[in-house]
Amino acid sequence: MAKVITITSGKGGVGKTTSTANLGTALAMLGKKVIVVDADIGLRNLDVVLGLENRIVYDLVDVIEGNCRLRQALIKDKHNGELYLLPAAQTKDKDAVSQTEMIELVDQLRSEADYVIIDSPAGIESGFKNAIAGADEVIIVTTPEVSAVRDADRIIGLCEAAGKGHPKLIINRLRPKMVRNGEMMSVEDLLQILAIDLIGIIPDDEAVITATNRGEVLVLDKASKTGKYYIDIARRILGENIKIDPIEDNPSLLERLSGMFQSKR
Amino acid sequence: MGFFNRNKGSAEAARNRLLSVLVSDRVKLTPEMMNRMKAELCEVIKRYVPGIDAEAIAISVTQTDNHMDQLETKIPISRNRG
Repeated sequence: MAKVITITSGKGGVGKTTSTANLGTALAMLGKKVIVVDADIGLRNLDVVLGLENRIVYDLVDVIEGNCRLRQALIKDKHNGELYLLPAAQTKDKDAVSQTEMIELVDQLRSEADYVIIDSPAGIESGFKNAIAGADEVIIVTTPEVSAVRDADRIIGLCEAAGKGHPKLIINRLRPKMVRNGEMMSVEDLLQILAIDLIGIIPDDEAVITATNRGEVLVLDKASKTGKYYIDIARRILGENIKIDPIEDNPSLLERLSGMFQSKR
Repeated sequence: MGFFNRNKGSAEAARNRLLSVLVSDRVKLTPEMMNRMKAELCEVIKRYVPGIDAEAIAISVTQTDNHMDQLETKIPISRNRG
């Protein structure tokens, strides 16, 4: 029976889909059978990030409406035979599905995998409510920016009100140099403000863009440090107790020299 | 020595603004609710301390030292106590 995790954020564009694709792939690489679900009906993107956009025949709405069997809609990943995608419908919108229907769909998926990861749409309306309806756990993605953190705070409240327990946090797009310069909020700042448990930190990395351009996920690149941070999160999801180290890029010689003449903050 | 000077970073401003805006977001008092609350508070306090004006009551949502939300209230007492 699968564990069902929804990845949400409130704010759009902070990395939910990228995280779903990478975490789903990482869990499959670690030997689990995984189904990733695109719950962003009308604005589907999980297919494109995984490079599976040309393989869609049926989608989540088709399954719910009974136009096809569940297995006909599941698309096997290009790289990993243990990973499957259930795509969103592109020509409908978020009202095409009710919370009850989502819960029933998720129950069907539970017997088909070890992990079901649901990519939530942005916002707090029916798309978000449907995405968390069937979840056992919620992971919230935020960036260290004022708008994203404010929205994440609201989402935390809504998840707890919906009985989804205490969500965990991924801090995405951290820029260690800006944090050192006092121009970006730090991990400690965000944890003080949001007061939920941290499950991982992902640095800002141009390679995410190039990977999406190609329809490949970063965790497949053994040389990618960012990929490794995603794999660590996957291992924590599996229950491994891996310490979360601060992300360090290498400060330039000039930065290190000027640091010697500064007093510590 | 401009090279070694640091301006107070914007991260600190971001953190302070967030802490303050989140406290109001979480407590969810609309302006009408706030006005009704002040009027009712005024009625109660007037029974014990004359010279209170509902309009002069200041209520703000702030944070305690250990990060709990709190309502901070200032209730001026007018010298002309009818």
